Amino acid sequence: MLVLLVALAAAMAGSIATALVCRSMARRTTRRRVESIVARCDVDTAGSAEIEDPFLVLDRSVRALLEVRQAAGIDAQRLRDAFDGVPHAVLVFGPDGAVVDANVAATPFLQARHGDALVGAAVEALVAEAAGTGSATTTIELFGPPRRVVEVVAVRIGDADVAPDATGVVATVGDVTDRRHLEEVRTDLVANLSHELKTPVGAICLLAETIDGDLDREDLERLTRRINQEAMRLAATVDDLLDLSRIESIGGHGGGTVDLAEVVAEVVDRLGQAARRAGVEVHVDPITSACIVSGDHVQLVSAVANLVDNAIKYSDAGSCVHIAAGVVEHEARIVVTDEGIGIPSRDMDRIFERFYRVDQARSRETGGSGLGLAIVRHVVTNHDGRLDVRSRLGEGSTFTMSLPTGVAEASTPKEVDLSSSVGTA
Amino acid sequence: MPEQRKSFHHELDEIRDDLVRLGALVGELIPRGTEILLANDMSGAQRLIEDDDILDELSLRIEEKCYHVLALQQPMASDLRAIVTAMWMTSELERSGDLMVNVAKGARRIYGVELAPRLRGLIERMSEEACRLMKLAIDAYAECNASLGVAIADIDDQLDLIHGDYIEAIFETHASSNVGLQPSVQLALIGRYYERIGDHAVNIGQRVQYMATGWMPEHTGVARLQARRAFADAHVDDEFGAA
Repeated sequence: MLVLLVALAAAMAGSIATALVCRSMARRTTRRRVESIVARCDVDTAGSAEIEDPFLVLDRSVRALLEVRQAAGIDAQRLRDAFDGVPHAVLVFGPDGAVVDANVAATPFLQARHGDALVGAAVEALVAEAAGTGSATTTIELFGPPRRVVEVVAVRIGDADVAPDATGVVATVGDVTDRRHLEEVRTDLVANLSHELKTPVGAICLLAETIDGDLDREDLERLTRRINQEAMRLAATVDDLLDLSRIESIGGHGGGTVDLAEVVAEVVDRLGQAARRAGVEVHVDPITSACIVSGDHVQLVSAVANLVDNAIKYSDAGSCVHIAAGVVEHEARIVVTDEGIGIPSRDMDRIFERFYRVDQARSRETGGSGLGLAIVRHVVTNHDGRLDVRSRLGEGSTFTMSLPTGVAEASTPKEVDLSSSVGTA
Repeated sequence: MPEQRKSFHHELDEIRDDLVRLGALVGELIPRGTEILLANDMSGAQRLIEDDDILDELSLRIEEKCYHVLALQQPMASDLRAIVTAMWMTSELERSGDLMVNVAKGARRIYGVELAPRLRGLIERMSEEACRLMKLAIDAYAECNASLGVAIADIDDQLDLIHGDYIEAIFETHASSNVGLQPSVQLALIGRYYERIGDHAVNIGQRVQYMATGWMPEHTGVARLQARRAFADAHVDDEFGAA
């Protein structure tokens, strides 16, 4: 019996010892695995791993990892927002040439149609080229409408030796229409300015040389008349240039109160004779509301006179120029409509440039300095207004000058319907 | 099998993207050719004529892809209609590009002739309408929108009206001896080219309708003809019966 009891006790002690050994081994194994996991987590748990419960360490590691992940998430979101905030379209291509990422501005070029489809095709071609050469650039001119110039740049990214899967090409698409336009304006201005000033001077020199010879009285009179005409033309150009320079340098208006009805009346009075000479009827619609704006009387007369002068010059004899003025939605508007030759759509964006001529050949026939519309634009800008133009070749043009009614609250002018004659740019 | 279908649909997508691209090239040629015509831009005309080769290359490539899919994938139902439509559209678009080449050649032939502002304005308007119709046709195709496709025939009426005004304006300028007979004929032909582009857009619209629904406007005529034949046969039977 005793032997049995001893044997039982020994067996139990053996089992307990075995269980204890197993448990200790399991704990060591667990600790090793936890330590391995913690090490893989790559987070700072210094000083705690040796003494504490491995599960506590694991818990702390997981928490630290979650914090790191959250911080990485915030960083990634910030980068994403910055990526989407870039005004240029940015497309990232993977090593297989497929799009892996694109910002908001690039959306139109994915599954694109019309002009954008051609930009998309150019991007694809450039990406293939840049994958080999490192970088590639091209400029695409699209006739639209709207007409625009687009620049595409593709650059290879990543290092194939370090991370082959992270290599690829990044392509950017930028609209350079305005930049191209400014370059054209700059080059054309110099050429046009020298043309406008040199042509009359050249003519005067030539005519003066001819006079120097032996001439009868009739020829002499004809030549002096021509010299006079050319001198007047040159003087008019210089006057307009000085006007434009003055209006530009003021950069605002005097802040006086101007009645547009008076402006229109003064312009019609000034240009009445020119209209009769051209056989063009100038018709002013009755101005029923008070069109009072805050501005400079002289500048506004100059602007409206230029619009009406152009309307008369580019109209055929027997046609009519309409002038209307009124208040629409707290804006005073002057609308000048003609039935003249109209403006080609491709020139519509450029007619407000200095010395820009739709048709150089006609400029000498019609006279004028080529500065009229540039002056109008500056006057409107000085008055915080807007200038819209609507035109069709062979049918006529409508220029609409909209100015804020500075005294709208005081006089609350009656609104009139100008919608039928108001054009849009 | 799924891998094969994936490749098949990838090929169909590629054909669609290429066609949209071809449509975009034609859409660009229309305002470009008009600008060349109105600005007497001879070097531009030469470049446009040369650039038509790009359209020809792309349309040939699309056709070859279509043959490839037909031969190897043997598409059925809507897939087959999509391929057949693509082949038809390639030809319509390629022809529209050729018409703009004709406009550029016309610009060369009337070089130096000063066009009346009214004629210039009407040419601009025809160009805008033709370009709009072509873009609508491409939109209808890309969206597989049968309603838009069929509407293009009615939208084209506007271009026909402007074309009518244009022909009248040519008569007027010729009568007032501003433009000679030869340039007048050239101008009339140029107007016809724009009008034909509108017709090609209408054809594309009808093909889109076929792609989406399997029905073509010609089906109505065919049904009418069959009804007439059936009636005639029945009438003959009656006569024989009476005899």
